[in-house]
Amino acid sequence: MLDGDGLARPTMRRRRFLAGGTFAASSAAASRFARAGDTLLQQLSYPIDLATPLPYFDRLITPAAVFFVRSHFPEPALDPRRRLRIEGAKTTLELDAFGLHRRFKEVTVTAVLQCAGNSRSLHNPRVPGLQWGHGAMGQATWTGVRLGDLLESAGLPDGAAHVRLLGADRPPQPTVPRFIRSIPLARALDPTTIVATKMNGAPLTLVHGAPMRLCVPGWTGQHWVKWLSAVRAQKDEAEGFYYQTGYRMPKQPVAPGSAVKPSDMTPLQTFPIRSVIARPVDGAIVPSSALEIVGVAFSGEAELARVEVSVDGGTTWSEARREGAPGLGRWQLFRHRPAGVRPGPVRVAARATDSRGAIQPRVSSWNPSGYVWNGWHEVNVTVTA
Amino acid sequence: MRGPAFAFRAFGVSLAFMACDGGRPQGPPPPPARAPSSLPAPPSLAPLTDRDRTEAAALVANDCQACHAPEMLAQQRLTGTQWAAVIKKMQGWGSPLPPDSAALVARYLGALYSPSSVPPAATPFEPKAVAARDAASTLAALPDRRFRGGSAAKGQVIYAAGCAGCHGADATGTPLGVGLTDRPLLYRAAELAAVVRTGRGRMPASPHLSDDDLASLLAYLRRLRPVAQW
Repeated sequence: MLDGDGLARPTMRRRRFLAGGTFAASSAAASRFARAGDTLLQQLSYPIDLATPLPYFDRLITPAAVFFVRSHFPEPALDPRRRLRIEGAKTTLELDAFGLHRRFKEVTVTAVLQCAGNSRSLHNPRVPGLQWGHGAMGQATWTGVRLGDLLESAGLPDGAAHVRLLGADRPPQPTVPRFIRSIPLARALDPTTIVATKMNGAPLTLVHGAPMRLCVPGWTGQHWVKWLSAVRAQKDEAEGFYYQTGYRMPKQPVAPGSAVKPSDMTPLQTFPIRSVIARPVDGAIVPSSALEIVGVAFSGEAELARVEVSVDGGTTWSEARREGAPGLGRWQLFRHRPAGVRPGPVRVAARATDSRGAIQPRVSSWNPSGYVWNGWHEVNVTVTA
Repeated sequence: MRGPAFAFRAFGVSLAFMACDGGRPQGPPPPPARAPSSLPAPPSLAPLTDRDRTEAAALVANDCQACHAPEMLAQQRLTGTQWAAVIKKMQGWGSPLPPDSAALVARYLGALYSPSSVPPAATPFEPKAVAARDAASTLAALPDRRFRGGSAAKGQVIYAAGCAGCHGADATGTPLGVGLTDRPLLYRAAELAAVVRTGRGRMPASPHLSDDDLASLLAYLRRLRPVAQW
């Protein structure tokens, strides 16, 4: 399923989506793909929020069965015939997933989905929100149709500058704001922005947004609206808490613990350069001859340029070998076998650099909501002879 | 100092377990996951009396955990001031927490889940590992079996009489009861029937409802399919 040239751009599939049987297999969980022994980390029992354990970050594609899950609100029922309404200047289209694939070209992108709050628990001082470790991320192939094709088919209104997005999930009571987001029109028309119906070649599962979700490669998870049920091109950005207050970052770096005025905040869009070590895990005991550092590295802002590994706590660094196609918003695997590591305690660290020269800091800059942590991932291991 | 801190933490754990099953007592609390540390109790604990804790625990179970899983609270490491800000936000969103109880609950949560809690602020929260096969099993549809063939018209009457007061006339929820439209639970008839018959949290039990009554209630609720409204 990986794109040959590796760019996070769509690959055209001429064959029509096979309506019918594929969606009949849609399920609430990805459990039918799960293998015995596969685990997830339960961040919340309701709504269901799950983190991917670190050892799964040793491959290019994260299996759906162990792919993290984040939902703000109670999940809607599984409805393979749920419709997406596309409101335009010429017409309003109402299509289910089958209809989307009948009318529009099928496209596949490979991209990282990362929650804005991934690794929030590492911010100091702590801030409210799900206290994720590093497991709120994964890479999948996403198959669907281009959002731009849908919007153009319905007709773009004059003066449109943003695209408003609504999912079918509803807050537990009407006094709680709905999860309404918008993305700038240019980003909506980008050929990599798709309404996906499949993940890793199989129908989306309910927890991953079935039957339709948005994919915005390189942008943080709040833009990847699940259970997508309405889109509209319009002049203004979205109103409401989840756009005007939530998911905002200070325009300038601030001191940890600062209060930041709303006028000094701006919407969070892309995720910065980072790497995560899949193995060895923290606390591992590894024979010197078997010590190999494996993980993933990516950025939503530029292509990956380099991954370095340290086995002395960040004093000296060696470049790691990379595998997989490079691209904006997609990850590559890195591997490194350090030579001559002496038995004893070893502090392993990884840091990545992007093609614009942005390099992972040891400690991520703090922000009031604990978004986009990207500090070095460091693990302590004991090396034996 | 060590004794009270230990007892309090154990109480917190039992609170979390009660809430997992709708707030009903579950027998003796399990032992705490970690040995009690030798750290003194946080200073903010001192002003809370046993009565305060009992009252605050009940408020949290009834007024927070209808929407928030207990883990949502347990993974936070916030100061009393931060907790007060969180509660103020939730009150703005329609939390049923009585306004004059907000300060008590902020102090209580600030003592339970503070930066000096165990694990300490420097340690990431460690969520429970679950089998991937089971991770989202609570959302999967189940066969209706005994709850087939209900009458939506009859269900509407049952809903209006027994449910609408808290869950809302249109079943989209109120501060006293969560929304029920378009939810996976509507396709898990036996589970929904058990909740209705035995109650959950502040929701009273309705043991008098027959299988046919519940089938009708389900038939009605499944018809309430909201359209996507901005």
